[in-house]
Amino acid sequence: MTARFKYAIPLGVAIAILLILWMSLRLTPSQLPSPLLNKPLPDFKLKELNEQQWVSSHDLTGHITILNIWASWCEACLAEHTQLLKLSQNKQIQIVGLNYKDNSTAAEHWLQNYGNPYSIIGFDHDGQVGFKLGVYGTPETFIIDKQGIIRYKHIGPIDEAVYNKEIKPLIEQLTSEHDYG
Amino acid sequence: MAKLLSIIPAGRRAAAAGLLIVHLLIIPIAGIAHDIYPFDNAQQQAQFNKLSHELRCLVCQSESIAESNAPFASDIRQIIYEQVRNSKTNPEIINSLTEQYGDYIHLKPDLHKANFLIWLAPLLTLLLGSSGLVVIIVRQRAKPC
Repeated sequence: MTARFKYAIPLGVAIAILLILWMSLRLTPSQLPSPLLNKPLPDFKLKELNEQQWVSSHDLTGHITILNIWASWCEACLAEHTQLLKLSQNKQIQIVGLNYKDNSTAAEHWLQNYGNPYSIIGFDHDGQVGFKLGVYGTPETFIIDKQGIIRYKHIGPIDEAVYNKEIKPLIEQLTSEHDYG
Repeated sequence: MAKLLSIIPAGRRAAAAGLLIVHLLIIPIAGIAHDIYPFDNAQQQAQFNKLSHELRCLVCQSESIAESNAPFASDIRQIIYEQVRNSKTNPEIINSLTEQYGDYIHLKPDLHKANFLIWLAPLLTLLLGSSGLVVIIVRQRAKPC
C-alpha cells in the first residue's frame, strides 16, 4: 500500500457518507409503503352516508375497487375530484368513498355541487374505520383487487401524473389479471 | 388587616377583587384542561405518558404523539388512552398501531431486525475511527525523526 493511497481512505469514507446523506434527502416519510399493502382489507362495517343501509368490507370484494377517503372540509379532495369523476366513467371498477370525520349534510351538499363519483359511500363520522386503514388524513386512496387484497395506497390528492403513472397502469393490470387469471 | 386594606384606594381594591375572582375562575378551568385523559390510577397515567412519548406523530417533523397538536396526534392519543383504560399492555398497544401505520411510528427504533445496525453504527464508527487513529500514532512514533 503506497502512502498516497492511504490518505485517500478518509476521503473515500467522507464521500460515501455525503452520498448517503444526499440520497436520504429524497426520502419522504409520508411516502413510506403502508404495512397493509398486499394484505386483505381490514374488516369494517358502517352506515352509508345519509342512508339506512350498512356498508361492510365484504361489499368491496368481487370488484376492482378504488377506496377514496374524503371529506367536504378537505380542500385537497376537491383538487383530485376531476380525476375521480374521470375514473368513475370506467365501468370495470367501482369507486367507494369513505366520508371521513365529516358532517353528513355538508357532505351531501358537496356532492351535489361538485358531482358524485362514488357508487357507495360509508359514513365514518368518528374516524374509526379510517384508523383501521391506517389513514393519516384526507385524501387517501386505496386500490383493492377482486380478492379483497389492498394493492396500492396513495396519500394526498391524485393528480394527472399520479393517475397516469401509477393508477391507470395498475387498473389495466388488474383488469387483465382478472380476465385471464 | 382592615387597616392595611383601607390604605389601598377604593379603585385599586375593586380591581384587586376583580383579579382575584378571575383567578379563582381560571384555576379550576386549568385543572379541567389538564385532565382531558382521566385515568383510574397513576400507573395507567404513567403508561399513557410513556407510550405517547415513544410513538411518532407521522404527519409531523420528528415530534412525538405527546408533543404534537396535529389532529393525527390527538386521534392517536385518544386511541392509546382507550386501550390503556382497557388494560392493554404496552406491546399490545404498540403492535396494534404498528399493524396500521408501520414501524415508522416508533420514535425510538426497536433493537430487533436490521434496526440494531442503527444503534450500533455510532459505536462502530467511533471504534473504527479511534483504532485507526491509534494505528497511525503508533506508526508515527515508531518512525525515527
